[in-house]
Amino acid sequence: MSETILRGGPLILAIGVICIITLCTRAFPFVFFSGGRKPSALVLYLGRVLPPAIVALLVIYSLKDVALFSPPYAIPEAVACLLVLALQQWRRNAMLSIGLGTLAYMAMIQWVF
Amino acid sequence: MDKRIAKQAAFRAAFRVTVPVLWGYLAIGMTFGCMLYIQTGYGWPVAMVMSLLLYAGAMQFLAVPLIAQGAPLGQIALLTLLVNARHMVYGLSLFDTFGRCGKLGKLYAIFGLTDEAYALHTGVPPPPGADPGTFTLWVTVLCQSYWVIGGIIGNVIASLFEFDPRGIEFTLTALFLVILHGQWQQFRTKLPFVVGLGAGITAIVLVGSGNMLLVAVAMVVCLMIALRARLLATERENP
Repeated sequence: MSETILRGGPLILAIGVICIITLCTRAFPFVFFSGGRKPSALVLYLGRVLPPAIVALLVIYSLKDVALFSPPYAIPEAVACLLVLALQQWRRNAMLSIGLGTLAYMAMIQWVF
Repeated sequence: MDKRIAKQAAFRAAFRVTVPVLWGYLAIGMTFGCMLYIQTGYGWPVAMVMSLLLYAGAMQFLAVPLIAQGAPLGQIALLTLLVNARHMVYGLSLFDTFGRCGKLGKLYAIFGLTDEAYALHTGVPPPPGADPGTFTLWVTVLCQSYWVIGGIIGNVIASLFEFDPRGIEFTLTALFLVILHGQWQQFRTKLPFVVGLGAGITAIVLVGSGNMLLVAVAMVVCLMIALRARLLATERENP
């Protein structure tokens, strides 16, 4: 465990902030558009196209500390990512893809590389 | 009397339609609880509180490394807003459905509007003979209770059994890849994916991995607004 972990006040604050902002995004249309007012085209556009762009970004974010230019040259990450995508394409079972992908990754970095 | 029967029917129907979510949420909730213990050392009470108050799938997962690394509050806030931006349009199709739940019930149904709850609310109408408002509320309550129970079980299991956790953080990558796979099928234009991946890599090169997120998020929002005309045109050309 590192020293940087949020504890006490900062932890409560972080949970509170995520809780309130999440609620705000979900309540947004009920507050602004339930009276028959139409949301602006830009809001609808961003609500639709931001999620795929942000999730693609989050894939990179979750791999940001992988060393590309030193052994094992991100090979375990690449193999595990391809495995997850292949399993998902094949069976469309999220649990299976996430579970087997993670186990394969753990096996690779603990025993192989 | 009829009202009581309609409410019981609503509970039974709600349980039936949420069974697929039961297995999914138990499994993902358990993984969350497990990751929370391994990365931060926090036990089941924190896992339970987070599952009760956050209840936001991908964002709740993402909260674990943010808490473990002591991320600044501004970064946590912005990330929450962007990861959950999709929820800003979910409600548009649910005014009538949630309007039947009463004032407090409506607030809770909005709070519990996850991707899976949205799919159920829009895809499965309350069966005849069941009170619609009660049905909608039970769907929300049941889904969240599976999630909370999963989080507690996963956390307790992780704290009881000793195992080498190296590599378990790949769960987060795998979860994002699975979500990405689904969105890839849904979207005709692949531009948003290119923008997200490109912005992430560019930001790491420009400012390093420690500060990449805010820079990349800013790039994504600006680029998506700038590319709006082009993206809409591409969608029209390839129906």
